Amino acid sequence: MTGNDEIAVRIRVWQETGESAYREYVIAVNGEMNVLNVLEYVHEHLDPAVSYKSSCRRGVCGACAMTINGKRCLACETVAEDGMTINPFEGA
Amino acid sequence: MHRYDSDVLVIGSGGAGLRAAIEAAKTTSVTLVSKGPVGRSGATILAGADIMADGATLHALGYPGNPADNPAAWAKDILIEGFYLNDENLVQAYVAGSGQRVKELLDWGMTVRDTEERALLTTGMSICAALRCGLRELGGTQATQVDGVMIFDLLVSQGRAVGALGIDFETGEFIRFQAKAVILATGGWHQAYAFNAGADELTGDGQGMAYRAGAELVDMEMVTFVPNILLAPPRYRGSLWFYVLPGTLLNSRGDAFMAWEDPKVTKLALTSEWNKLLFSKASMREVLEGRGSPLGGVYFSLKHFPANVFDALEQAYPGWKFQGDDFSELMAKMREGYAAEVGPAAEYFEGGIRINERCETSLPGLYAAGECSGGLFGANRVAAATTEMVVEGAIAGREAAKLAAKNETPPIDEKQVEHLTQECAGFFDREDGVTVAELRGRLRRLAYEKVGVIRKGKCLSEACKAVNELEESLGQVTVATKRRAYNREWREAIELRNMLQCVLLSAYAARERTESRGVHVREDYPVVDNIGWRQHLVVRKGGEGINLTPVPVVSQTEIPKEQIPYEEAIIQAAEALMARKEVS
Repeated sequence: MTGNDEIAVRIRVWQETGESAYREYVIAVNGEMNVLNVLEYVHEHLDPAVSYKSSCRRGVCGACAMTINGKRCLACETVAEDGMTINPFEGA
Repeated sequence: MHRYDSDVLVIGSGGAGLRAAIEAAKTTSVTLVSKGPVGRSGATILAGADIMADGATLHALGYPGNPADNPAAWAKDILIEGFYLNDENLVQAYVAGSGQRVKELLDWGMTVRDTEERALLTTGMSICAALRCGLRELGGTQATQVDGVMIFDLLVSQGRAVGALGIDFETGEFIRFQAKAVILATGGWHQAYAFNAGADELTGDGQGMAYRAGAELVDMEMVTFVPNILLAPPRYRGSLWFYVLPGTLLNSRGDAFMAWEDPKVTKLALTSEWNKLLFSKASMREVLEGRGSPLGGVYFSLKHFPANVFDALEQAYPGWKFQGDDFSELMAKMREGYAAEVGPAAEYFEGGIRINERCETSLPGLYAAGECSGGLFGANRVAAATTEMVVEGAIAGREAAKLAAKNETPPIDEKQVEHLTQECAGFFDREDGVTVAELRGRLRRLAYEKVGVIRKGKCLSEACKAVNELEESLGQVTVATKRRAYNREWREAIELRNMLQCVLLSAYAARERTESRGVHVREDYPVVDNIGWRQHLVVRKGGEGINLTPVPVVSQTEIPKEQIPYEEAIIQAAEALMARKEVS
C-alpha cells in the first residue's frame, strides 16, 4: 500500500487500571509504512499510552517481535495495512 | 527495591559492554545490564562492518593484509585522519590492542566476507555472535545478565561511583545495582537528530549520567554524519542501503557533485571512509545553496548503470535484501531511472566521556568504553569503531576488575537513591504540560539544523539558547499514562533528559571552537587553526552550569603551528595518506 491513504488499525493498550484493551486508530499514510512506523505515529501523535519495544528498526535485533493479525512478526519488517490488529505485548 | 550486587557493573551490551563483561568476569563477579536484549541491542549489530588491525598483524593471521605495515604507521594515519586532535595515548592503546582482539573474535567464530589492507569485512551481527560465544566460554558463570532495564543515573558515594539505578520496562519498578566499579558502554546520542542512522535506544544515557555525576566529557562538538541515508518512505528511513551501494549523487539540477577540484580528494572520498565526511558536507552544501530535494536532501541515482551492470549488482545482493529490509520494489524503480531522496544522518560520535588509556574517567570507580567515550579519533573517525569497542571494552573490564579487587565499596547513599528515584517519578506528578513527543521533536530538528553537518556561530548561539529553554521545559513535561509498567512515554522522558544534555554540550563546544577541523565545519571560521585550537574542549558540570575548558591535546607528535584553509587541510591529509600507500 502506497500513496496518501487512511488506514484503521486496532492496537492493544494497557489501561491505567492495569488491564489491557484494544483501541482503534485512524492514521494518514504518506508513503509506505511498516507496523513500527504506525506504532510510532500513534504513540507520538494520537495516544501516548500505546507502548511497544523497538531497537534496530532494520529487522536484525528482534526487539519489535509482536503479534500482528494473530501471527508473530517483526513490526519493522511488516508492511502496514488497513484493518490490522496489533498486539505489542503478547503474553504480558 | 530489587537489587543486584556484584564487583563490576557493566552498563550497555553492544560490543564494548560485552567485551568488558568477558574481561572482568575472568577474575570477578559481573552484572551486565542492557536497555534492550543483552548482546542484540545497541549500535553494534547494525554495523556494516569492518574490523581493523594493522596490515602486518592481519598478514600474520593468514589474511593478505600488508606485511610491510606496522602499528606505528597505522597510528600515524589515524592522527592525520583525526586532524591531530586525537588523544595519542588512546591511539597507542587502540593500535596495540587491535591484533589480539581481532584474533579472539576469529577464534569465537566471527565470519569474514572480504579483506582489505587493514580490515576484515564482516557484519555487526557476526561480531555480536562471536562476543556472546566469548561470554559463554569465559565468563558465563560469573556474569549475571539483566535485560530490558534502563539505567538512568549513577550512584556516587564519597566521590566514587558505587553503582547505578534503573527502571525495569516491563514492571516499571526501580532496581538498584551496587558495584565496586562501573563501566559505561552505552554508545552515542543518535536519537537526538531528526535524521540519524542509530538504533532507538541510543539516547546518550551514558554521557548524560556521567555528566550529572560530575565526570568530564570531551570533544562533544565532533559528530560524524553518514551520507546517502534514505529520507523516505517512512519504512526505509535511516537505512544505510544507498551508503553501501555504488551510485551517483545529484542535486536538483541533475548535476553530479561527487568530484573535487583536487583529484586526490575525490579519490579519498571514493575509496575510503572519508566518504562520510566528504559526501555529507558536499550534500549539505547543495541543500544550503538551494539545490536540494523537497525533503531537504539530495538525489541518489543508478540511472547510468547499464542493464548488465545492474544485474551484476543484484548478484551481490540477492533479492535486493540488506539487513532485514527488502528493497526489491524500490530497486525496480531505480532501474527505470528513479532517483531516491537521501541525506546525511548522525552516525558516530567522536566525543563523549573523557577517558585515559586505562579507560578511567575523571570520576573514581567509573570507566567508559566504545562510542560513549571520547578522544581516540580526534576530529574525524575513519578507522573502525568496532575495533575501538573491543579494545576499550577489554581494557575497561580488566581495569575495573583490578580496582574491584583492591577496594571495599563505600556504602550507598540512601538519600541519593531517594532523590534520584523521586526525580524520575516526578514526571507522573504533573497533570498538564508539554508532551515528551513535542519536546523531542523540537530538539531533533534543532540539533540537525543548527548543530549539524555545517555550522555557523549565529545558529550555534540560537541552538544554545533554544536547547537551554527546552531543558527548562523538561521540568513541565508530563507523562499522560500514570501506570508505570510498559510505559514507553516515561522512558522517553528520561531519555530526553540525556539527549538534551548531549545536544546542549555539543552546541556549546561547537560555538566555542572558532575554527574548522575534521567533521566540525564552521562557515564563519573556514580555517584549521593549529596555533590556537589544537586543544580539546573538556566539559563538566560546574556550580553555575556548564564548565567548558580548552585543554592541550595529549600528543608526542609535533605539527607546524599554522593556520590552514580547511579545504587545503583536506588536500594535505589526502597527500599524506596516499604517500604512505605508494611507499608500501
